[in-house]
Amino acid sequence: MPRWGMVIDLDKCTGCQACTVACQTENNLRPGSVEESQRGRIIEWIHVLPVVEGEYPHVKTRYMPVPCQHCDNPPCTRVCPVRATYKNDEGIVAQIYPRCIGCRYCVNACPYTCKFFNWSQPDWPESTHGGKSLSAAHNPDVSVRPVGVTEKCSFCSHRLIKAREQAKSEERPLRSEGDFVPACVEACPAEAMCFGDLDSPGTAVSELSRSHRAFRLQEELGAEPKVYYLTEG
Amino acid sequence: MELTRRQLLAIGGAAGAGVVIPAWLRSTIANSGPEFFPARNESLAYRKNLESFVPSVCQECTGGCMLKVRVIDGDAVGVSGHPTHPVTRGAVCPKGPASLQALYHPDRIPQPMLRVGQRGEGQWKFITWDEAIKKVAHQLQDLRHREKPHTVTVLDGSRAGLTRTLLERFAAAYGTPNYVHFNWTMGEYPVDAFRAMQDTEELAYDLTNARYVLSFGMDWLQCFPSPIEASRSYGLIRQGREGQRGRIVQIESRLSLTGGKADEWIPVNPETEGLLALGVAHVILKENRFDRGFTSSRTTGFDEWSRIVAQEYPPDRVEKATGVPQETIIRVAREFASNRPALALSERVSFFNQLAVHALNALAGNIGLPGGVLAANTPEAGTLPSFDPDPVARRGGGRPRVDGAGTTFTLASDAPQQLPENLLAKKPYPVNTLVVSNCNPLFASPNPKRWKDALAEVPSIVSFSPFMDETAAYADLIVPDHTPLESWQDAPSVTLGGERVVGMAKPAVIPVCRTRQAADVLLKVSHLLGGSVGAAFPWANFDTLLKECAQQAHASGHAKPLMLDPAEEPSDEALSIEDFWEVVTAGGGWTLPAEPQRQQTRFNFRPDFVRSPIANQKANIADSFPLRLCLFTPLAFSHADGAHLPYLNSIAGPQLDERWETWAGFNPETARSHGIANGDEVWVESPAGRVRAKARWYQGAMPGLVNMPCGLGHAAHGRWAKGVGSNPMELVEKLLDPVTGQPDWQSQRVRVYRV
Repeated sequence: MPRWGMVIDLDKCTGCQACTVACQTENNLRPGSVEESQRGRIIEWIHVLPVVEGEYPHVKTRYMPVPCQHCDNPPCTRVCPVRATYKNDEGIVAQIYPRCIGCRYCVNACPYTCKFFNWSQPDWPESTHGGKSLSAAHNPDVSVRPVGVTEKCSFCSHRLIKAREQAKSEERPLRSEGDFVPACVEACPAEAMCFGDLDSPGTAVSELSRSHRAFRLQEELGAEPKVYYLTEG
Repeated sequence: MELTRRQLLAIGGAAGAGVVIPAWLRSTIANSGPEFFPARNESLAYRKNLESFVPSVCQECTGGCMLKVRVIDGDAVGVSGHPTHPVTRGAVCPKGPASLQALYHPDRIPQPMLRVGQRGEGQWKFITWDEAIKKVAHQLQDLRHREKPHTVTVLDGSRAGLTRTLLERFAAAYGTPNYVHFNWTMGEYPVDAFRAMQDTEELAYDLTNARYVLSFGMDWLQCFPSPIEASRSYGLIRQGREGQRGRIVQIESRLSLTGGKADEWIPVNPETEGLLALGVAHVILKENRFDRGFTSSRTTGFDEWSRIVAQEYPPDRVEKATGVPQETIIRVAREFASNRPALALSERVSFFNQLAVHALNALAGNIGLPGGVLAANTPEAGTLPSFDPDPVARRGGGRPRVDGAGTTFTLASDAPQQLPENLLAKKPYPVNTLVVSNCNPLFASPNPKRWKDALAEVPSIVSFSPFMDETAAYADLIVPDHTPLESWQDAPSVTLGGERVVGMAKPAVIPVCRTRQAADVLLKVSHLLGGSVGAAFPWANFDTLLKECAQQAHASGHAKPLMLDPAEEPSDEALSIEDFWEVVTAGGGWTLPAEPQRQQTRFNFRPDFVRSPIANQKANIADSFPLRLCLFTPLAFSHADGAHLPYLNSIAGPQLDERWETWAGFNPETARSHGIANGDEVWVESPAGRVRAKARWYQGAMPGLVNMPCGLGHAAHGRWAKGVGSNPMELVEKLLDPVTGQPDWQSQRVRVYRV
């Protein structure tokens, strides 16, 4: 059974946020608005976190793209009273929207602030010109989340389903890297991200996750994230 | 005519779903006949879920990146990078995927509109395409009959490609010298220096192979031609070569995105980057670290230039002007000269600064070498047949230009920001018709109010804009263009390393509105004008022209079709022309063999411009306006455009995690001395006006400066842009470079106080 994971090289990341927007279009994220921004309710499944260190003129900025960390020991799934969020056999922390009761326990339990609550019905404006609605751009592989439901990065698990079907139709096993690629990794212009089976020897992720530059966020919490970062320098 | 509930529903669709209709559209509907109420197709045919992938060109900036669009049942539902296109290689920048929101934007202009009220009042009526095209043609024909074709001005912001070629050709065939290219200098290559020193604009910084990148204020991760390629180069410089982590040094007064990722940030007083470059040059000369072979055999003007640099720019004097310590200047000079290949970058700032920085590349002998400055000849999609302008056109085309390019601004080919003054003064002659394509001067200009005043003097303004932006709102006639995903497109480009490619794409989806491609409208108008103008445009449609170019490429035998599926190889068998056309429109164009790096013309050090113009600057008014305003454009709003797309609004300010409002960055010391807390609402005021912003303390800001992002603060441009944030360009008094005519964005003095 594969154990899907991601490696993000912070030395290559330029903070351009192509990953953020590619994810938004792939996963039908709500458009956002001034009001949502003022209340801190813009939803970005992969958010580029800026870290400004030092004081003028010795300043260093770092940009850290933070998707759901898909922890092997996820703090969020344990608090869900209805098993709307759980870790599947391949290590992906999944979210079942119709089952979610909106208690937001998982949102608070996540130490990486990667779970987002829909405080209002998302607005996909109808056209004022008789043409198609903004919802025409929706990816039909991903359901739209209504008000009252928590959502998060799924590692684009809908792409895994497709990749598996594709492999099956070609009568071959699913490859441990390359067949299944999340939208953010596909988009990255700096080639800073890679994705694949962490347990499969020879994949870029299994090699890089063991590099001397590799670390994970807040490792001391013991959540065992499957997103690895490579330090700069 | 009152708008009934039934009509509202017909337009808005879903019953009572809180459809917001902009005021301009509400009144337009009221002013137009019932035949213009768009009929909604309510049939709920089941989805077949037929999936296809088609190429398209991203037009959200001038990069010309090739996209791969996922289309399901005729709807564009996904965008990724074209996998085999040498610039994009499967990647995108944030603007690419956001273009879906442009396609299905709820506030697009649905069809041609004619102004009925006062200009700018928002009173319109819909007209048919036939009426609109006839109206334009009639008006232009009339001016030609009156021997005044030169009083038509075409203002265009398109990137290189056939649409731009057609607009320029139209100007020439019709008889006006006034095709004015509207550019955005931030992130643009220092093309004025390229032209003055190397006699060509067709150069590229080969970032992919550089070991040492010294940038004088160019936020090159967000630069052009393509931010995708810039990002990929960054990855290569950092981790692409075993055991060789390239060094990146950023010299700028505001720590930019690139500065934050650099190994070293050297803060410098604004607009003194050129002096610093000459200080660096002084050290390189004095320590004999320059490329003697190159400077002696392949340059002109070196002796005089080096004499002046040695005399006038010793590090101690440069330190005083720039605020950069002598030791740093000396160290940077040594690093730059000893780490080859090295690059010295600047953007299209003042002419003096551009020249000073570019001279370093020649001094280190990095011209024409991998990792240095390479010749990068953008290919042409095809060669258009020559045409014969009639005597009216020849007389009109021979008149002086209305923007002063070539006359007032000796080395400029275009000077769009001089237009307002000249239009107002009717100098050298009054302009009767302004055609606006692909740009928004009433927003993206220093003190855009100047444009509004000036346009009052122009009797007729025609806009091609697909959105109701500030300039379109001030037009008399709007002939709305398609958005890129609905258009036939071509995108010739060249990579930083010199690979040449011609992108080509058919419409990815059928048009959402009743818009028409601008190039097709232009062809129709010229056919109606007839005579020598019509004869210059022998193509029925834009796609006929594209096909003709494909035929030329096919006949040349050098063009290799691009494949949208990287697993597929183009067949080795010779294709028929019909098959070639099929393959290139499905695959996204063709690549061309790289041109060998030719011996370039001698590098001219331009000693005539090496003396500093700083002393001539106007008197300081530091007392009443103690701070200096520094403007920048985040990638989301490159070219000051993009705020109409909500996904881009959400990612506007990565460094300070700001979005959906305008912020002003202050050094904490400066903020404290003005009594401004982090997060305070402040007014930023200059003699030109004042704008509101959220003050943010930023350690990456030099003391005494206010940094503000361009792109927000629209008075129009759809629901997600209108009224959001403020536009700091309103603060900038016009100050144009005397040689290039390009605006100075970094010299405005301002004061700041709490709201």
